[in-house]
Amino acid sequence: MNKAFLCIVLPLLLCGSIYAQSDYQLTGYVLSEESKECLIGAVVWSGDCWTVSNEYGYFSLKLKSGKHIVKCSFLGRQTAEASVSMDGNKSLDFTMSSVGSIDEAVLEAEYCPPLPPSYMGVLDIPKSYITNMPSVLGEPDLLKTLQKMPGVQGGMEGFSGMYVRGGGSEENLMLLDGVPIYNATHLLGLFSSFTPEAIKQVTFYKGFFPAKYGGRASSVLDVRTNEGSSQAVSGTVSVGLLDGRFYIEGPIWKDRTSFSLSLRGMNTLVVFPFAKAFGFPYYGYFYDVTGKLTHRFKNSDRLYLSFYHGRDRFDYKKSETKSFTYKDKNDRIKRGTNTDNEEYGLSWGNTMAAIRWNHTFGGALFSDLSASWTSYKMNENSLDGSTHVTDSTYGFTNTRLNSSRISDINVVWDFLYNPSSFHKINFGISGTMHSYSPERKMSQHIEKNGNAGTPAAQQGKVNFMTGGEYALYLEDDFNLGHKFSASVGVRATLFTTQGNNYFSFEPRVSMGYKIIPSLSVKASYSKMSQYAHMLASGTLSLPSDLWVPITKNIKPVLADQVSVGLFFSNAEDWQSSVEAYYKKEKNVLEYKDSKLVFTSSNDWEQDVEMGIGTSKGIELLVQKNKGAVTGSLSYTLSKTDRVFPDGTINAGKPFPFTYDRRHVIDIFANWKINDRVSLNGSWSFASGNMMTASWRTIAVIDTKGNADMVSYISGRNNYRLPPSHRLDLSVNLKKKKAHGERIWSFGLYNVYGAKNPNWVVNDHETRTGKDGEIYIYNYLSQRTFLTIMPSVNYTFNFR
Amino acid sequence: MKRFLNALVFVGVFTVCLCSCEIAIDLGDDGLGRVLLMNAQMSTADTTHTIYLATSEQTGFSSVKQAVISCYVNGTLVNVSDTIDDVEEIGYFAKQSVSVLHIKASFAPGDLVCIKASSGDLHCEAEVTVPAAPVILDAKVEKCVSDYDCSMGDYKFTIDIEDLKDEYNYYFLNVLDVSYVVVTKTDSHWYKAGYIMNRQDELPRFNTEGEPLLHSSGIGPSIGNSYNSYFNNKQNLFSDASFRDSRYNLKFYSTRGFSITPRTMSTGEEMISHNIAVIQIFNISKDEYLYQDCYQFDNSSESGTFLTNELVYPCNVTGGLGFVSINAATEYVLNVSSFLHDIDHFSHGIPIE
Repeated sequence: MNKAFLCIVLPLLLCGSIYAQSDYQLTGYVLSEESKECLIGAVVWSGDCWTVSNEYGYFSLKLKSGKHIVKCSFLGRQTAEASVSMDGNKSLDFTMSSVGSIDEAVLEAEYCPPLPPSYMGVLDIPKSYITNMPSVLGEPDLLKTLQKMPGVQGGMEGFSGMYVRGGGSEENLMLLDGVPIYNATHLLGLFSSFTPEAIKQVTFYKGFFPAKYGGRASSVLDVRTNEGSSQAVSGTVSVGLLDGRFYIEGPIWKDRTSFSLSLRGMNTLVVFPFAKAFGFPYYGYFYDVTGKLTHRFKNSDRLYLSFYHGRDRFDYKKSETKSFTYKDKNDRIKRGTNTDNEEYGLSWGNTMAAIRWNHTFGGALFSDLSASWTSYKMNENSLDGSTHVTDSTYGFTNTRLNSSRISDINVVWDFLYNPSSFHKINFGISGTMHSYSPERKMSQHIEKNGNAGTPAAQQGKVNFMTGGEYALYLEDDFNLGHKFSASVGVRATLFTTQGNNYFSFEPRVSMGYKIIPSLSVKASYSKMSQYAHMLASGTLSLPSDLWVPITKNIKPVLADQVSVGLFFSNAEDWQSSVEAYYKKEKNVLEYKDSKLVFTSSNDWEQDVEMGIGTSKGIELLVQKNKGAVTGSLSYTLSKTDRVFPDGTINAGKPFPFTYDRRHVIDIFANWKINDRVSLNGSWSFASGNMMTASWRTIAVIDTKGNADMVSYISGRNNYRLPPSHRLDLSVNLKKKKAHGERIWSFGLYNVYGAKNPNWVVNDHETRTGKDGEIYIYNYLSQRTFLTIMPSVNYTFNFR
Repeated sequence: MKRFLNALVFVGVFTVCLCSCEIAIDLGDDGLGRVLLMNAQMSTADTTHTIYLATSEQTGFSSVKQAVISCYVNGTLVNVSDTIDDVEEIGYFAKQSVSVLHIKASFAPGDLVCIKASSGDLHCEAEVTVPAAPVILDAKVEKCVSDYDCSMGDYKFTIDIEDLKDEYNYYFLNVLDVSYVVVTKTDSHWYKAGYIMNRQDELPRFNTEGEPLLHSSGIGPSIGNSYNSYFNNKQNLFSDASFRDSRYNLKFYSTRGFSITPRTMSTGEEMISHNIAVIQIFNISKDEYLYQDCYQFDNSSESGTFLTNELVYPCNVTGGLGFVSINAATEYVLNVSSFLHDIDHFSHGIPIE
């Protein structure tokens, strides 16, 4: 297999290089005229030669010697054009102005639709989807927007869980400016960590994975943040029910250095007075900061500094003092006090910092060198104590500290080489040093007896592991004629941990064939491997979920995925696709039947079992991205199973995955009534999750031969919950002001109050049968708390 | 502005609270109907085996009024029983009882045993292969002298187990704590020399927490987090994962001290009190191991929380529900301590080395 693959790849690479030798290279960046920010995905073409700007706005076009008219198109912007005389390698930047008052019909005629890129199972999420999608409490959220896309299942309703094509929540690689974020949610998964205002471009890979990506088995979410305008300062202030956001961008050195900064924090002043009013001794908050600094050098080199820091904190503090009377040694009546203290604190969050340097070698070779550090940590502290004060003081204090941490240091060097206009070669190398510290525990016990305190009794435990992940990749994107395009790549990975080495060879192939100009067919195959597992606690994204590396006994997750699809594109107006996929994952983890699903890395290998996951499905997506009414319709028909041949889970028999939802339908529409008012609506329907239910009780016997009674379970995930559906609506009211634009957004989540299962548990009660005998009736208790939920949000965009 | 937002939050919270609800989902029919529930844990060490039989419905399980049980070994009928010896009430309600039947049969390793049960129009059967007996190479007991040992108990037991070759094996350990007094010199009319009195068979009080084979986490420092006190392996289940095809020295401690005293004694009489431990290692099938692992977790404090998976008990009864198993046992008897008692050393006795 591997040899055959190389036999295909190498000749293609050589062909491209030979073909390229008599041409000159036109390179440059595509920029926004207003902000001078780079534009990602702009099409640059001349005659039959074309290319697309990469994630840094860089393009490279191979042209023959002589004069050429080069054009550049980008959605929502006027087509730019330049005359170039190619008598050697040339550099040219396109600056593109927004549509403004230009008639859209004229623009459509000018726009050159790109040839079908060979990548499939890839979605570019328009930013307007994120900001307009109605959601819980009116907070725009990237991950909840993604849940509306075919092939993506949400976990608990209203939360930001993400299960892609039958994969687990830990199988998604979430990249912020190219750096992994380990726990990309706030408030136990209620919101994602990505601040909407800071987002520039979102690309989501679920079928085919370019060779530059690795380390996760199911999906890649590549989020790029704004570089910031190098011309003028602008920004946004936004206040919602739960949080407030502030975003600002602008030049530090005009045309050369720009910044973008977003701050988000929870409205603790608004939320917690209610908790306090009802006597709940809770306090908590979350915040995050996302920043980016971009410097453009004269020689068109670019330097980027990216930073993210997010933190959640939850506190519980209770102190109760009771007074009492007592007699002292002299029989005098005195008052004493007894104070009980209880405290609990939990904090968690990510921090990321990256430096990136873009450089072009000799016109044709673009390089992107980055070094980054990312860390996720969780701290838990608790205290309980009691103090008894009479003539003397007696008491004790127990304190416990528990922390978990994972941090990575990454160095990545990516290259892009354009040997010809029909040929693009990506290659690179990366090295990551992972540090896992799933558990660091410390406890202390102090007693106070009379006036003397006892020395503190301390105990502690530290669990620390490291892992090195090194990768090489090579990928060739090429066209053969005007109809066939392909991307053929390979990624080789070595992971070393605790004396064990794991090597993985991951071929990636995607091909597209244009049947007619608006219709193409594509097919792809990807192999992915994942070297870290998350010991998750359940349906919520708990901060205490532990990341652990693979070990001698626990192998990496290996995923093979085949997809095929039909893609229809009517210029920019309508786009639709139908994709079918089959995915097989080896070494997926589940907790064994009789093991505690909780967060201890102690001998965790013995509590889990490796199995096989299979997922297959058909996905339909229809999008309309232009006009007064825009929106999308998606439908997914899928089936996902797990089997653990070892027999420790479900007696070795296959069972459906928890999020095996057979049918999922999502409809989203945005109606721009006029420049001031727009309406948004989304309706979703999903078959119910699977859960394990007990219908009857049976007798069992222990090793001593004693009989007892337990719930009988016919198999894991043996019951499908009722389906969920809901309608969400919101309205945006915009008004131009002297220094910007203000937007009031009013929303209603779950308009018709559908009682969807948010939390379901097994329960039972005693009932009397027809024969008068009392029996135990087993049922499921469904808790619904996300019914009708109004929201309001105020935003001011200033400039 | 703040007052306005507060008012909005109040309206929001009020609306959500008003609309939140709890709904009971009726599971409907599980499709199994009324079937026989048969459970048995048989052993090569026994010749009479207990079979628990009941009819299982969605509303519970009830003892049967009449039943016939047949035992086939390697296809040959070896015994039939239609006597219901007892009815055991397991829960508080009527539909929580099982009938107890006994059947006589001897099993050897490799035998294919089939138990068939019939009650009225209900029939079920289970087929089990008898595993090979485990191998105890050696076992010894010694009085604890080191600081570590003494912190764990008074006596330290060491069992040298040899794993059965070329197969995955699952075991459980059982220890019988037997104490008795033997009369060695007497002039009583009531008993003669050699008479055994005061025999006590007690549940073992052993400390196995330090044995990693039985407690994967080891004893470890307890620092107060509930999930650190991993549920106790009360059934002493273990597998050969850590010593496959080789030997293992299993260690545990006794904190009890094995003391027993003669009830009465006259001048001139002499008696010896013996304290013995019967070490039993059972070789069980993987399904039985999983079954017992589920059971002991079901009985732990961690069971039933939302952080646990619902337990799927193995079932090997066709035509019904339940689980029938046969284990193979190996015993090793250890003399823990002996004391010579006379009228001057009535209660404590003189240790006999």
